[in-house]
Amino acid sequence: MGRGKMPQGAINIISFAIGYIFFNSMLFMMIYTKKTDKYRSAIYVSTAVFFVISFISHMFEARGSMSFTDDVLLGCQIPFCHIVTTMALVPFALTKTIIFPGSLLEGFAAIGSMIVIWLLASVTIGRGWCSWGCFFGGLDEGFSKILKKPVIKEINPKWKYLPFAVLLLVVVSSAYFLQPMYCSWLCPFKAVTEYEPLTSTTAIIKTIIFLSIFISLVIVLPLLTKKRTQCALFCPFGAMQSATNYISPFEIKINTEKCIGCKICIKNCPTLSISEDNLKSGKAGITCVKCGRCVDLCPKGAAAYQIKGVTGDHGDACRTLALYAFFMFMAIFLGGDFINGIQRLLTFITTGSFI
Amino acid sequence: MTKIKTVLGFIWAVAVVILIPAGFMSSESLAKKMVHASGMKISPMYTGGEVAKTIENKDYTTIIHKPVFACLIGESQKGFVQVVWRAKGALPAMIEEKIDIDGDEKPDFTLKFDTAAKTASFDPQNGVATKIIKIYNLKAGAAVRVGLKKQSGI
Repeated sequence: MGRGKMPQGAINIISFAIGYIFFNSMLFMMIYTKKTDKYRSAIYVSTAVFFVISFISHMFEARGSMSFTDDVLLGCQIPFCHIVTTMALVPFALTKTIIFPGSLLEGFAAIGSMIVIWLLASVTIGRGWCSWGCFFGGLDEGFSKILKKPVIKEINPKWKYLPFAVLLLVVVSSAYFLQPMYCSWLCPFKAVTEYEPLTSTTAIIKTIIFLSIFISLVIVLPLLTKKRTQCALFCPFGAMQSATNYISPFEIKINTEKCIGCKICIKNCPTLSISEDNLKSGKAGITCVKCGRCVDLCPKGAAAYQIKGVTGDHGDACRTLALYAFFMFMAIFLGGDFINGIQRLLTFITTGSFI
Repeated sequence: MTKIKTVLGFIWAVAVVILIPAGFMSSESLAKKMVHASGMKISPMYTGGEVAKTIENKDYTTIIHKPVFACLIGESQKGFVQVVWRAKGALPAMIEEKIDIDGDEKPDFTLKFDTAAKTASFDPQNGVATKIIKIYNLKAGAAVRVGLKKQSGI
């Protein structure tokens, strides 16, 4: 969580202590109360908020603005985001080049390190990334938790296949144009990270698209549906990561003998990953993000974290191992952003500036 | 068989719990090994391609990159050449640069850059250069990408 360094200075020490105590107390509560989602979500949502504070502060510190300059672009210093991986793989396989203006090994969010972390996530937690590792996902999750009841109660479950279409579109178009098309045209998180300077009509159109998608999929629809609509209905990385659920040892199983068909899990799954067919087959769908909400809400304890291959009465051991894996990934990967966000906030409180 | 599967499942899960901190701790060295072993590079679409020539002038340095005809497979028929001017103090009001793309010692076009207006134009000597694609305003200098049409010898 301290990124391998002991914190120096009062604000840094306090920030580290807050982060350390908060993360560990949430893990303690997960184990003590046997409830997962509530405490995971507390870390996940707050980390997303602190990530945004931390990232924007970094941008202002380094460049004086959230928009990147031509020096940054030509110097290939744009931080690499995991979503680019979806578009970079095919061109890399065929040209051995990465179609992104970032640094391979040096600096903040270098391409090499981010790819290694993505591979690590893929073989360990699978699409659990989308509930335990992604620094953006907490934003729509946060908005989805504001209202007590959904205004829009029904979403056609077929919409959950839309991210696969977006994935196909961005993979093909990025390979054709040798440009990360999702980043250039569709990424809603440009609104809270960095963007092209508004010096041309194209850049203005792009910004309108980013903002529109951010407002609709990250704020409004999560509020109205209580679903993580950006993650469930749009994100191409999530779609790609669904395939890694086959590699990860952890999954959500539904005990068909215990299940009474109340459909609470179907109604409450934030990514539309459980259907009646899943209840019959005894397994959450491929898009499951392993957040644990269905496990917490199931009145009969039919939904549970499971380790593939394990049979018999090992529920607690399976859950504990899954929690340790997910939590460790979250604490190591997101802990630094959480602490840096707190540090920026404390700096703002004490000096009036985030920098 | 189910017992074996259960034991293997637990071994796999424990291995994952160990792999996560180990993977993060060694992520930088693994990244270095991965980049070197795979020959990974940033696409010339972003770097501008390899530097072909550097010319030292009194007030600025001209960096001419090799033409880029990047394509997913093979080479594209359309490409660009990137020319960068790095100012030592301030760039002169007008810069004129004769650009030889194919290395035949004859300029293929003359590139002109108006520093104050931040506009660029070119006088074609043949049909290689097609248009000004983009002008980059740098802190200490400027850069221009000129569109190219693939011809023999380039």
